Amino acid sequence: MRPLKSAAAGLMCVFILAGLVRSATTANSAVSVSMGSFCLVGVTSSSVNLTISNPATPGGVPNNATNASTYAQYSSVVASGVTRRITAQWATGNSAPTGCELRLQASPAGGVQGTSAGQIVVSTTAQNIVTGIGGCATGTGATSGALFSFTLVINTMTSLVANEIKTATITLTLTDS
Amino acid sequence: MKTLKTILMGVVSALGIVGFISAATTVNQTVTMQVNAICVLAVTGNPSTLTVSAPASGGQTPTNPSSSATYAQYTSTVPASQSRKLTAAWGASDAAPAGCSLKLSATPSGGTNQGATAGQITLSATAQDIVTTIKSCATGTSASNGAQLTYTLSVDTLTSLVASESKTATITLTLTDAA
Repeated sequence: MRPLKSAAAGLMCVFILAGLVRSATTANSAVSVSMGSFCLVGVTSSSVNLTISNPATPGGVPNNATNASTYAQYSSVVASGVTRRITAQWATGNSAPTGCELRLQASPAGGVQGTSAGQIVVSTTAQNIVTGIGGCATGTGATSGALFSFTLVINTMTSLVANEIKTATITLTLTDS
Repeated sequence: MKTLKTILMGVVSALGIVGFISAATTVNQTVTMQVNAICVLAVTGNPSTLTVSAPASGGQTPTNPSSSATYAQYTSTVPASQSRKLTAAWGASDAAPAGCSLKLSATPSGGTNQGATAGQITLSATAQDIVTTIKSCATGTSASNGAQLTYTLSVDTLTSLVASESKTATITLTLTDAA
């Protein structure tokens, strides 16, 4: 009989506690969460060098100079249905060495990090190099992001000027499409 | 109330950071482009042996043998207003057979900046121009690209010829800045 009384008493305590707890479990709170739209772009190296030098065989045209060692790294948060793009241009007054042109192609990882817009000839007009960028973060490792392939193309061999050096400032812009 | 103020400050700070990040959407990269001075030269091979042989008819002077089978091929870039030239010379101890002289002319293809012939020279140990006004160019590397080299063994004094005499000479071609 004693165990039964104890059990009944224990059960009552549980109901009482349950009632107490229940009386403190209904409270409403309106929480509003907002994600701001933002974008940020950087490059793994601020400088690139391209040099036209001796051809493999005398009489041959020198190879175009290439550099594929830098990456554009970006973070982007976009509103639904919105994508971004990266454009490239150089400043007014910049130019390639005589007889040459500078080309640039970006190779992103794909998916929400965007797709390549192909190779462009760099000019003072902003041109797409990556499109379709959604919400993403490329990462910050040495080889994370969109690989930049710069090519100094010889258009007119007979126009080359020995020892000519040109320095250009390329502006990359991550912007809404 | 203090908690509410803290939350509000946090929200304001967060909005401020978002605004800052959103504005920083451009980055600059500096590209340095350079064209080196290039001056490289090769020949497509050695000319065939130049042999003075019997004339067509008895009593005639033998014909001067010649070879036009080789080409000088070159790639060049020069600074503005400068040019290069191609010179030829043989070694100090080289000589043509007795009674003969070795002559050479170079005929560029006429391509832009590939230069102009300096005419026929008589080879000696002194470098002489064979092509001048070479500027920035690439002659090409195919078998018949470049400046055609014509070697002629000229019989100058028939009475000095020595039968079966053979001489081998090493000709040095040099692509160099014009003075």
